[in-house]
Amino acid sequence: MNNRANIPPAMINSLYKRFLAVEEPNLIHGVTATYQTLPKGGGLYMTWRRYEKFGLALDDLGITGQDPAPRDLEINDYSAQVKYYGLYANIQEQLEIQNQESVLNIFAERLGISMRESEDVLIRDRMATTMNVMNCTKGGNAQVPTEITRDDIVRMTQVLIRNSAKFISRGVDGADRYGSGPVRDAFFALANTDIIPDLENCDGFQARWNYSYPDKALESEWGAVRNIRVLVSPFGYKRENASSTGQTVYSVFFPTIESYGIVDQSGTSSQLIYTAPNVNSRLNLYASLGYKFTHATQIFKDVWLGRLDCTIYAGV
Amino acid sequence: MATFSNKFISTGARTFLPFQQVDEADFWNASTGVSFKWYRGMENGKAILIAQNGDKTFPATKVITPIKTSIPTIEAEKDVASITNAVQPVFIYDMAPGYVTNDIIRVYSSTNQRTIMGIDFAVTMNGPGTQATTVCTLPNEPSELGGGEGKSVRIPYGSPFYPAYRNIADMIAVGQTLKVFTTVPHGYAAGGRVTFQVDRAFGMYQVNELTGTITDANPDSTAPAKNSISFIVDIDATAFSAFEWPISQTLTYTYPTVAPEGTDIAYALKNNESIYASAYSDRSFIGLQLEAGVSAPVGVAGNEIWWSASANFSHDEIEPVDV
Repeated sequence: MNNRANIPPAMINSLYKRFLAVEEPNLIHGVTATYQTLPKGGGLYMTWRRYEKFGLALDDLGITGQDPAPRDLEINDYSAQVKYYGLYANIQEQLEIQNQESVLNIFAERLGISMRESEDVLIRDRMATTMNVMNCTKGGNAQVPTEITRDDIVRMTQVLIRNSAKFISRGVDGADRYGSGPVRDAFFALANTDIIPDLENCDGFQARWNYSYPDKALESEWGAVRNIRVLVSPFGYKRENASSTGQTVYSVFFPTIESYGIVDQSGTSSQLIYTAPNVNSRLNLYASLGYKFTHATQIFKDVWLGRLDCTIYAGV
Repeated sequence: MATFSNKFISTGARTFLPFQQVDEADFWNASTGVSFKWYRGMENGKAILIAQNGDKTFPATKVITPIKTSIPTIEAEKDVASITNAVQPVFIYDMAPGYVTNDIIRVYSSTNQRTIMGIDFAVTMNGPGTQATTVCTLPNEPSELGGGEGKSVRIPYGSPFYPAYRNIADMIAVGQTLKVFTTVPHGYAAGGRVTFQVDRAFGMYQVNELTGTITDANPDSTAPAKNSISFIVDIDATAFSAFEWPISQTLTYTYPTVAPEGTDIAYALKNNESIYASAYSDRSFIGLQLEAGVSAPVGVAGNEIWWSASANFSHDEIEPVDV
């Protein structure tokens, strides 16, 4: 019998031409930020300045003709120091010569993902330092904080509105489509994907597919509750061992117009850096490929950036 | 291979050395003659102690730990055998949990002390090493039930961003200003503005959402135990309700917080304060955490510590070859 015992295949495996996917999570934390660039040569800090409001004038000026005391206008600066971040990989020359696939292309693609994910986490961690923290208390899981509910969302919305925060998205009109409904003017809420089951249980939750115009939803949008449209990501902020019984506490951020900003530096905002083998090694032994970016995030007004802390009903 | 070396004078406290990459490090205590050798890949906390006579041992306690503060590792939880219901709660352990003074711990899972669960507290260790007492003082005993047990974890590093928001332990009106105590060192600077969030359950709700300027960032600098956990802000609180800690174990509120919010330029310029002292910056780093003590690389206060650290060219594992 002629079989592979005496006629072995010349090639024992074939690598399928299309590579398998990697996780590319929704990156939601920069979506609602004010974006600025620190000019090249512009120093270490980006500073945003606010001329605060005058108070009210409610007292009668009287009849004496005497001027009241003048008021000074208060100025407050919000400075953030731009920092440099980066990551690289060395690639031995034999990889490029011997491998059939385009090694450098694959590295470049993966480095791009790493850079954007890093930026998202940096923004997220800075947002977590807002003062405007509220525990969910209306849920039923006996935790401190409880799982998220409609009433907790409405309470946080009320705090933002009381402080004259501005909605980020205009409402979506209703349409004559079965099962759909309009969406109110809304703040966005940025949440971890782990709270999806509790969101779905919120009274009045409206899935994005039930918007009258679902195409107006963002890719990461899960749905709406009252005046909130919720974006979800596995990168949503959470702290382990932080509830009253040591469960994970999730923070849902409620950004509003001009509540926080991100800044990079002109010329270094994001760079893909290739260093050739003849630069790295006397014998051209390895190349390197990496990225570098500059970044800082600053909160402009804490009462305009809410953080609603919750656990999840089932518990983690 | 890149090598760095330098020396520092010990403060007697845990010390951090930042490196982008470190694969081996040597520490020599010039005051005692003891040295330590650390290699990448050693078990967390381990290093070789080389005594003055050349004897080599692995200390039983943690001495050198590689760290990456941007992604803190949650440590194993410890059982708290009992909690003393006091204005400075004491968390008592059956076995020493390995915490040291000025560590930050978070306690949870207590049925009797629910009003302080989930808060990060800086602690002082006593007895010996089995009692963690909060550095801050609460305005009153925090429980209507008293006592209780719980669990705790050490928080190795806080937010990498400076300055960060903090929980409030107590607030008192001092003249026409407000003195604030935080549960962990706040790290704020004079001239910085801070905004408060205080629920009605904590009494002084009038300060909720008010913003003020820090006029003294460390008024208790002469009292070491309270160092860095208090500051004074220019908010007139004389007419406010007293700050109090809720004692009911039915919790329907959020812990009081304070967060930095920009810099008061007029104040900073007038008082010769840096207008960038309260600017935000990312202070995360990669490096080594060195423990203090007579059998640890940092030694005791005043010791002179020389060190060198190297980073390898490659992390490839080179195995012995047959010849």
